[in-house]
Amino acid sequence: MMAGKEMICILCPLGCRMEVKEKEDQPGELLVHGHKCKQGKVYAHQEFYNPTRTLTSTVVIRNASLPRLPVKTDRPIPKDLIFKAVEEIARVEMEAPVEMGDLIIENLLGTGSNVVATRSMQ
Amino acid sequence: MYDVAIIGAGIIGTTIARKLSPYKLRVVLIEKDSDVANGTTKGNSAIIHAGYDPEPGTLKARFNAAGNRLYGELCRELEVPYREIGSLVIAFSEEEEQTLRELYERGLGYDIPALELVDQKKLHHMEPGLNRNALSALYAPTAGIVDPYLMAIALAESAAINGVDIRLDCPVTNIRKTATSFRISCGGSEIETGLIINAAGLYSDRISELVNPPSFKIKPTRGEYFILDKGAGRLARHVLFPCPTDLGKGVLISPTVHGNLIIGPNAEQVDSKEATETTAEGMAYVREHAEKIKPGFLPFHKVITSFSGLRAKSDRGDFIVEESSETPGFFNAAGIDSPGLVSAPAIASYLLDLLQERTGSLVKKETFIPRGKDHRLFMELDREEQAALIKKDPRYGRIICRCESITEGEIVQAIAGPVGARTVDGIKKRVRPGSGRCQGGFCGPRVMQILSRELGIEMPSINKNNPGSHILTGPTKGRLPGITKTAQVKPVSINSHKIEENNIEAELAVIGGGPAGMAAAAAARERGIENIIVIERNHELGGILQQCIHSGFGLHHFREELTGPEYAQRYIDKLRSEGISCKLDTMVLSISQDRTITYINSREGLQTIKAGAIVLAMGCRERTRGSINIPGTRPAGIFSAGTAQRFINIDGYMVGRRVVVFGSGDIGLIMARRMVLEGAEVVAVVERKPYSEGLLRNYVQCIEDYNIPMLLQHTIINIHGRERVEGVTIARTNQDKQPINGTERELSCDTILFSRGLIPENELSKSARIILDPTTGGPVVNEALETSIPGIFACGNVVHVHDLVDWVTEESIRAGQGAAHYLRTAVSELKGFTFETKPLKGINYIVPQKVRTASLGGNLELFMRVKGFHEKTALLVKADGHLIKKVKKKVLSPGEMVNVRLKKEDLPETRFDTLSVELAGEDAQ
Repeated sequence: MMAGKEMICILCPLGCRMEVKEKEDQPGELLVHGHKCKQGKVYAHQEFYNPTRTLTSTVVIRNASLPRLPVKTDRPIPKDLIFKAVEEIARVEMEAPVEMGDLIIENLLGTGSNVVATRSMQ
Repeated sequence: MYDVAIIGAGIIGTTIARKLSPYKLRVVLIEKDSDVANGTTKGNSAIIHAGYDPEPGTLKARFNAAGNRLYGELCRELEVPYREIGSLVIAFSEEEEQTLRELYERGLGYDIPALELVDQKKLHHMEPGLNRNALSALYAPTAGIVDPYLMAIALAESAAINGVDIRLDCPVTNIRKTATSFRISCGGSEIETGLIINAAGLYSDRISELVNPPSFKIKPTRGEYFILDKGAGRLARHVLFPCPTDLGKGVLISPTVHGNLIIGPNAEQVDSKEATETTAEGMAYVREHAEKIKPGFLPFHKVITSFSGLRAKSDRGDFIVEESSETPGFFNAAGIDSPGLVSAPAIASYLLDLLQERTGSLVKKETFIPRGKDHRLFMELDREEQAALIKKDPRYGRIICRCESITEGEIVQAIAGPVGARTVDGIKKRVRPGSGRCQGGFCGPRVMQILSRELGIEMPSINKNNPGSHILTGPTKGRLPGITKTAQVKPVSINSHKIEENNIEAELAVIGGGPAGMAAAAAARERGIENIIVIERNHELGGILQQCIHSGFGLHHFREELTGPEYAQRYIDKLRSEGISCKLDTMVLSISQDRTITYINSREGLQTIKAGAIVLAMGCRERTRGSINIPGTRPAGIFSAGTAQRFINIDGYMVGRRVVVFGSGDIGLIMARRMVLEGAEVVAVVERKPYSEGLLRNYVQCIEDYNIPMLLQHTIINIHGRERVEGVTIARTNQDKQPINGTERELSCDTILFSRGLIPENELSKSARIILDPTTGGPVVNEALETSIPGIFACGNVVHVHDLVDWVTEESIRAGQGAAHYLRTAVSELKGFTFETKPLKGINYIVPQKVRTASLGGNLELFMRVKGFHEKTALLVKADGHLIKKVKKKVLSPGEMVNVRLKKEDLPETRFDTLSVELAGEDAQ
């Protein structure tokens, strides 16, 4: 039997403390306790099998009102790719103007997630 | 070849330099540090003593009395603020009264003017809040207060203008005596001079011993002080001393010329000439002794910083002002401890006489310019002078330091000219940004940008003080942002055509263009208010959200996950599409009860605007190291977490490489992760409580995800490092969050981020005398977020610190609606009644504090914070003690705001006075 895992659901500030373990007879199925909404169970599944995070950072921007442009991955990326992703993002250099939502890196590290600008800058 | 070299640019060296500057002499002033006034001069009581105190026959007695008589005139010449407020030496026993009589007699012997022994009745009348056991006092009306470093800087400027060379960063390593001159090795070069004046303060014994046999020793004596926030200066009308003892004059209480209150010093002989750290024992001693003078009267919660200074006490027990008997031409102005500041002008005169004895009568130059720059602060000028300055240089219309209202023009001026500031501390000493309650948290980055621009140096090369005290460790992303070339970052203006409009009236004025202000403005517009103006101090809207580049915003309000800038943009777009006008780069200086707002910007100068209603949305500031009194040194590398966030996310600079985060507030957790992602190591997050204070998801995603050690029930008890942070001492804490003896250990780090909580910024609210809630630190508000003054509303973190911007937005919408309702509804008799909310056991506070039933819509939302961590509990809502609702809660933590929603039907229809909330059962502590 796979060991249970304690988890804090982070989808909302309620921060449900969940106990998650794989069903003995049904691999790939989870027993989740402590969640208060359906989302919690989805989160537990995700966090158990494939934890992902939205990564936010900045990139260098030239000729803008400020020297750094905030960016994010437009969908969460696998947790274990975070540091590789940070390196990729550090290589980028943008030129103003940039609009919020503009594509900065397409398909980051093959994750299917794009890095996009989170604000406009002139 | 110089005629005279003065070693040491403290108050003594600078006063002598200026004294010599009218004469036809080639004079050089040599200083080991990066700025003048950097030793004892910047760490003392700032008192111009009347002069009754020193022992008869001493140089101290002679120079103190003489110096006091010269001081007022000298300050007038230099245009440096000086206030002759008088001093009181207070006696608590018959024995001490005897001492007073002796001091009085002694003072008469020195011709100290207007000395008076005042009896108990008169004493308590003269000085409110004194210990009732104070029996009588010696009143010396000629005692005064001054800003010692401003004084030294003004003296140095005047000296420089009149031809004195000033060499900074120039430690003297050797002095060679030749047949006709001295050759001084300093800072990699050699200076030849005919005469030397040794004014090297703590190091004057070592300087003397470079050419003379040892004849005196300087024994550094440390004194620790507290500085209390502006306004607290009113709590002492005079310089208040206890009776002097063998140890010295004792712990004094005095206002400063800037309106702060200074309390200190103790007196502790230390071995090192660099031991300017504060200690827990020293601070406790100072506090205890000050409270003897004014028990229960001193607001120690208003401490904004503490510091220590070393007095250069000589083993001879007196000043040493003489020509060396062994080395003719070498003069000492050494061993100058208290009363050195006041004695300086008399010492300088005396030395001038000694020089003339040696060189013959000196010839004066044709011209002498008595003063350097205008040292009056912009806010001290009259309106016309201010307007003229802004017209000449619009930078005088831009406030950089919001606590002290210091303009960009003043900072530029402080950098310019002779003896200009080269460091962040240099700016602080000259024009005060960073001296206020935020301790440079907000203005620090902007001050550095101005230094970078004016001096043409990169940001990471800017030091706090001496070499090695760099504030930034390099750029993020490995690439320097470059020096900001333009004086002004492009204002991202919405509705630029309206910005220049010189409104003199507005229906609704919103102060602050962060999430709270924007939501309130938008909500008021939705309710039909046409003439709205949002006043924002930054160059763009969005407030602190613009630096919160992480995601997690908007899950409740927009039902999607946004980053800070994205959340801000939603409301910026809304304001733009609604055509709501905004004044950016505009600082509100005061508001009055009749809703008149005084603001300043570089386009319009100082203006007033009359508003039908006001929404206060100024947000909050971070608690600083100074306000929590962590002992230790004061090196570069100490930041509040939000300041570090701004440096990294907005400006593109790293603040350190090995980081300890103190406090587990959300910004601290977010910044721990951010530092790791930018390549730094986070050694630990240190939290005094047994639980993490921030939101759970921040704990999970910022700390757990990155395996950052969180040391719960630990505290920082000491900070080490002279120029840059080198480490901290931590200890375990007991239940009262106090350190446990014997559990100390060291953590090596170069950076400390403070995340010890946020404080609503209510200086403007105070200017309108709005009633504040001592627990929240924000205005007392009703269900419509109206403050104690009709028509003035408040929302967001200025009311109470929220954990989520979503709640800020929702509260602010209610405030905007409340303001609209106020503007649209004639004052009418409110039906219904008003009740107060009351936090009972386990609950820290409740907002709103008052509720008018008549204006309740469908629901009443109560926002509160609990005191500890609780699981499986319930909140009991009671009306005048009768339970009306029980709300079960699985988890309650102080880090997460609790929202209790009551339906109107839940409330009794008949009048009641108090609606209380408490934790159910034994869980409540």
